[in-house]
Amino acid sequence: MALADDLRALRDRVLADLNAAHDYYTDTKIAWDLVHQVIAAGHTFSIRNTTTGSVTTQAELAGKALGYVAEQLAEATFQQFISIFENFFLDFLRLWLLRYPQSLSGRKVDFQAILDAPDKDAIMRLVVDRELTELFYDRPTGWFRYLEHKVKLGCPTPDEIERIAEAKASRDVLVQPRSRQQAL
Amino acid sequence: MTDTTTQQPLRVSTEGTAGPYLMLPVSQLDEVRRLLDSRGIRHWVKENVISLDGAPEIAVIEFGRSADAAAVQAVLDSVQ
Repeated sequence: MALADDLRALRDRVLADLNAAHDYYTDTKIAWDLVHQVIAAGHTFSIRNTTTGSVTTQAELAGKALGYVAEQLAEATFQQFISIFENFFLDFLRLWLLRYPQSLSGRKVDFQAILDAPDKDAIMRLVVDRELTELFYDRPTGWFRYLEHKVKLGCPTPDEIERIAEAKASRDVLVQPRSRQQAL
Repeated sequence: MTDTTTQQPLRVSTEGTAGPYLMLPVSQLDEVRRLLDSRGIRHWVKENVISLDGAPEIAVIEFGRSADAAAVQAVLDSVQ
């Protein structure tokens, strides 16, 4: 498959993933809204966890739901959006570098790795994966500097890169252990 | 097999994307699980049981995405 076709397929897959994540977010909110409407209509229910024995009533669940939607659901969806973007970025570069491996011609490979590889493609994948692993731990500005150096797209703009960096930093704060957040 | 609270046949549902499932009163859970085990039907029970408007608690048995809903229904229908 041509590189352009691979990139279009990647684009379509990622857009579908983003849509699915957004659908999950909105559908979950709708489900909780329905629960509130059921309660408002005067229905009662209790939920018993057969493993722990704990019982949750409709009033307790309604109270928890407010936090679930406003915090856990929103945070989880936001984290998922960032993860999808990160995977897209690295998959995009992987496709590009595998198509133009000469851009990595200066990279060194252990002779043992060459001996262990079944063919030239496997060696290229090894070098590209190592390159992307190192890039993954760089700052977002480093990601886009690398992208511009290799692909020369002329985008995104510095302002867009700054917003992406801010979003990734916010995600990093969310996934840090609470104890570490409190220490910062 | 009959739902003892509604007197209607137990029906395997195929709604949704998580695979077939069966809703039944908790009081019949052990009996149905024994039947499923005896026929080698893989299943698991959702850990939460729900009582709506004071009615008996309802449990949910799931069979997995690849399960044959018709085969499970046939097993349930084979018992009075």
